[in-house]
Amino acid sequence: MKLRPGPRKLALSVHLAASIGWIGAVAAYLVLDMATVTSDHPGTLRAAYVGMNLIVTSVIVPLAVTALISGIIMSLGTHWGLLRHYWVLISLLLTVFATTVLLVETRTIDALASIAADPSTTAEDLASLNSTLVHSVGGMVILMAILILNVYKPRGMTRYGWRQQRAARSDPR
Amino acid sequence: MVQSGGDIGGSGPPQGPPGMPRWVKLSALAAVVVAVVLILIMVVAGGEHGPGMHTGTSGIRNSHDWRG
Repeated sequence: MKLRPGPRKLALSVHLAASIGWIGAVAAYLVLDMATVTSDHPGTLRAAYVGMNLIVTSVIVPLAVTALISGIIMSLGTHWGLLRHYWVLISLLLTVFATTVLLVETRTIDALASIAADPSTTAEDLASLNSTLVHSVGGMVILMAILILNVYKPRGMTRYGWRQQRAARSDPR
Repeated sequence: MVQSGGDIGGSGPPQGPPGMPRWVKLSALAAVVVAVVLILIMVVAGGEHGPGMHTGTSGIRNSHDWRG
């Protein structure tokens, strides 16, 4: 099913806003995550962990889910398809992987924020909390890879796409 | 970020099923290498991997146990 120009442009606008917004939100999260590694000031640590939790739950997760759903709609609603081209397929797999890790990671971030927000948590306890830097840097790398794939659209059709193309050519309707 | 329009791949009708492009093979190889390195680092560091690893254990009271 192909989308008509109006709905296609709307879906593309939503997809671009969510995808680019996701990268921007992760950049903001990374700054706070870096602060949990570089600072030992209790006030900074408390604010950073609480802020990270707010950014993840209020911005990153909604944007990630929106980007994933709108990406699937865009793929299915245009000639690109979801499984026809390697760059679309790999983008989909990377987005699903990043979203899954993100959803699992929200539990950890929520736990860290709860501990940090507790007034009875001592400065020593705060300093003993680990950061989520490996995951957030890894997430940013994956988002950059998806961005590059979507901008360059490297050639390469899957076997499924090739069969679909052949079937369409032999049976034009 | 799927956009409409543009090249859909290939300049002429292919004779047989296309093979996997080189960039896909190289990317997959790089991904496997990175995954193996990360697993080795985790094994060498002796750490578990999962949500609990981030919250640490020293000095955190049981009342903060988020898993319960």
